[in-house]
Amino acid sequence: MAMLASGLIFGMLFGFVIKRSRFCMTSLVRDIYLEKRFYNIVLIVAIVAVEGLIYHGLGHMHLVRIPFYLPPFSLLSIALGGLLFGVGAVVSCGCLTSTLVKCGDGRVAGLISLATFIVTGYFVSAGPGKDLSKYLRSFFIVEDMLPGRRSIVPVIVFAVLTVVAVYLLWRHRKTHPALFQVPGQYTGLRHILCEKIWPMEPTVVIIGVLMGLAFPVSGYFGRHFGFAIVSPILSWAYTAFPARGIVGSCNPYDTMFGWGSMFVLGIVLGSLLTTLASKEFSIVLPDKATALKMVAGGVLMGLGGVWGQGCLIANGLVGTAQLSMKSWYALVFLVLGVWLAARLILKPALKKG
Amino acid sequence: MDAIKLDTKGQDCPLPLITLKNALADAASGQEIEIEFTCPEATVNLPNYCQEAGVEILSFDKNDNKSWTIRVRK
Repeated sequence: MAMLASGLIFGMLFGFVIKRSRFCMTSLVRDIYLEKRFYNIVLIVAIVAVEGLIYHGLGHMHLVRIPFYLPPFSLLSIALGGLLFGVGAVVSCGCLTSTLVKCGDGRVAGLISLATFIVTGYFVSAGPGKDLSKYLRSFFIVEDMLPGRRSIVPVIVFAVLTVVAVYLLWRHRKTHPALFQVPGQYTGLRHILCEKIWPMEPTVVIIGVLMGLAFPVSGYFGRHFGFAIVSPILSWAYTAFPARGIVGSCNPYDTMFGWGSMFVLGIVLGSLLTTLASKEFSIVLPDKATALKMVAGGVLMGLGGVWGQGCLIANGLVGTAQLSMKSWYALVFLVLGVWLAARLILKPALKKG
Repeated sequence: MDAIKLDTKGQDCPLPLITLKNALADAASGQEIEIEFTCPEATVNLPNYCQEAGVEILSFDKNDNKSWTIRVRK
């Protein structure tokens, strides 16, 4: 019971923070290319650095289990999956985490991409398509071995990165004050918690702290991993429709119902409660073109999430902090997928000003 | 000069921003543009873009709990 409650609480906190700040990993990556916002790199690095410092620091205090061994991975499957997931995240106007947020704030578009993601993800991980997933994973297999991953070196590297990133965040905040504030009606704590759109600088630090603390908390219950989205969502389908020989994705723990399952439910609830508190909840129906894009995006994320063994969160922000080579390799293709879709889909839609 | 009115309800980011950018490309100097949207992320993206591009924000309203409307001048 405590295990399920802690997963739910972490999910709700994450849902609250990303809803309150309008944080979206896909748009951070997308706008590096589309809007030339290179500062987004600092925002992403800050999350990984803070989380990595907590993870490796607690690991050296024996409060987090840093695994001796990370499983080998297929260069082909991860590259293909990362690319497809990145494209799907742009087509869906946000990755799986944004999809969960949309489900909580009343956007039916989120439900459509979530449903198609689950059907596709189940098909290629537990249904008839799992043989294809196994086949893809049989090519170009390499070891996930980074020398010194369990040494003191990562603690030092992430500590330095954290200091540099936090300084750059502070300097940017000081030199780029927000000139326009969305008009509000509350003051004090109610304004901050229910209305104010949080600036990105404190947000990314809070996200890094939450992601780092998820390791000891879920590790206490035997799940030695951080935030994850793909497997935890699919765990609901695996529970409803049990299958044998599931081809896992981001981590080996979440194929069974547990901490991760409650975590993703918590994101939806966190988004719902935040939206209700700010009086922004309403059911928003997508037009036909948007609905079709959600279907396509959900399918691409289903294929990409399983074949790439993770999403923009689990590979892009969590595995990278763990210094998993699989996750760093996946991140390259996730980013390329997002940029490719931005180049092919979004850029042609823009007129020259 | 009539204001350009745009409806992007039901569309998520970055489509409201692309719609606004395209409208700004078509608009005459000094012309006003009003865009209604339901995407919560656009409450950040649209004002940020206007701020960076030097587009004047005339008003920003929340329409009950249904949508937002931003009115800008090129």
